[in-house]
Amino acid sequence: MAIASHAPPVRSGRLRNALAAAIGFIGNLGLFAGIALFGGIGSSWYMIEFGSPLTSVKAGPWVSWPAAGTPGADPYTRARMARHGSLPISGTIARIWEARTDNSGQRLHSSCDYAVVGRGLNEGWWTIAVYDDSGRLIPNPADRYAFNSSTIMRSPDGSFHISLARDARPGNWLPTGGAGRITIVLTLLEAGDGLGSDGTGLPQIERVTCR
Amino acid sequence: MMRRWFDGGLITAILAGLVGAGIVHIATTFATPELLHPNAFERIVEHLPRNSLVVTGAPGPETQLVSYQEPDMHFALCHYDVSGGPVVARVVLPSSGWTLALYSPAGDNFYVMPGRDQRVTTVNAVLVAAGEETILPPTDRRVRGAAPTYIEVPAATGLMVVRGAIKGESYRAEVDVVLAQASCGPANNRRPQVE
Repeated sequence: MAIASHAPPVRSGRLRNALAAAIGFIGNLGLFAGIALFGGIGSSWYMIEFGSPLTSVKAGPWVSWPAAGTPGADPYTRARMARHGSLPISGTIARIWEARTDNSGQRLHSSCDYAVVGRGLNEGWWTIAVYDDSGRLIPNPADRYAFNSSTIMRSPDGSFHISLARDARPGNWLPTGGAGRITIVLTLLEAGDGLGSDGTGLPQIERVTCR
Repeated sequence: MMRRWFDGGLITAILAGLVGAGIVHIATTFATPELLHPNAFERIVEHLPRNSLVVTGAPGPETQLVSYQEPDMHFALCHYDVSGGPVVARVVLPSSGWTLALYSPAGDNFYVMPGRDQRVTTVNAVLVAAGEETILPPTDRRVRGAAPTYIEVPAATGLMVVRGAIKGESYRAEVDVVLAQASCGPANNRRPQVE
């Protein structure tokens, strides 16, 4: 003990410097790895899941990936299609719009009732369907999963109103019971009269009530 | 020491981390389609015979083949394989909402033909492998009009999907009849298949 207490101060200083350098190196390495991994994977996930102006078009709650299904799709669109496991018709003739939120930006959920209100869309073929968060159809006793340009009931003024609700509603009712988070998909096949190229004129999605 | 670390190592680590994040971002994006298996194509063709058309009804929660499958469509599917020679597909598209779509194993929809209202579209297609144009008749000798459409496919195997639009409950049987009349199979001039 007596010998240790008389150790040269230079030696303990070197040890402390070496230790500090090692801690600094490990800290820098951790910082580098953290930024590289979390930043890289996180930003890639965001671009694949939510898109960017380079890859997708947003109009209110609706999002479309114009290159979906095409052989020349960009890597983000291609990764998104792979992640979703879907097989869409080429964006050259079909325009697919997805909504995961209502008009106020709240996530669509089966515990709430929604009104999807639109007008126009008188030409061509379109279909509007509701899925759960994984793209699965929502089981219901009525076996009702979608309305299309032929099956939708319109008001005298040409508009249409679809109720998304757990319990039966008069008119165009799509059941959502027990699905949790839901996604509405509007597919336009050589249709879209009255819609702007930026998606203006797409149906409105209003939250009616929540339980 | 803290200041020296801040001036040197910290900034270097952040800059290197940003460069690394860019590399990881690109690698992750490009790797995603390669790593996620089975993809939609693989899930569908898993139970399909080759060069034969299979008609399926509208998908339901228990019978859905892929995510976001259109519930108001009936489907006819053909897992074509042109490695043994051209494949002939004959499909009638009676109205709008109907489509004939060809997909590569990567899920690319490289050919699509939509139906039209007030006009029945008949597709008589011959699928040939890329680089096998020599087996086709010369362009100037191909018959016009109702002649087949020659489609060069990007890979030896792929998927033909015919979507038949359900315009109401009473149309289901009619749609199934039209789909059942479609065909997909080897051409008559098929060469012997090498095992």
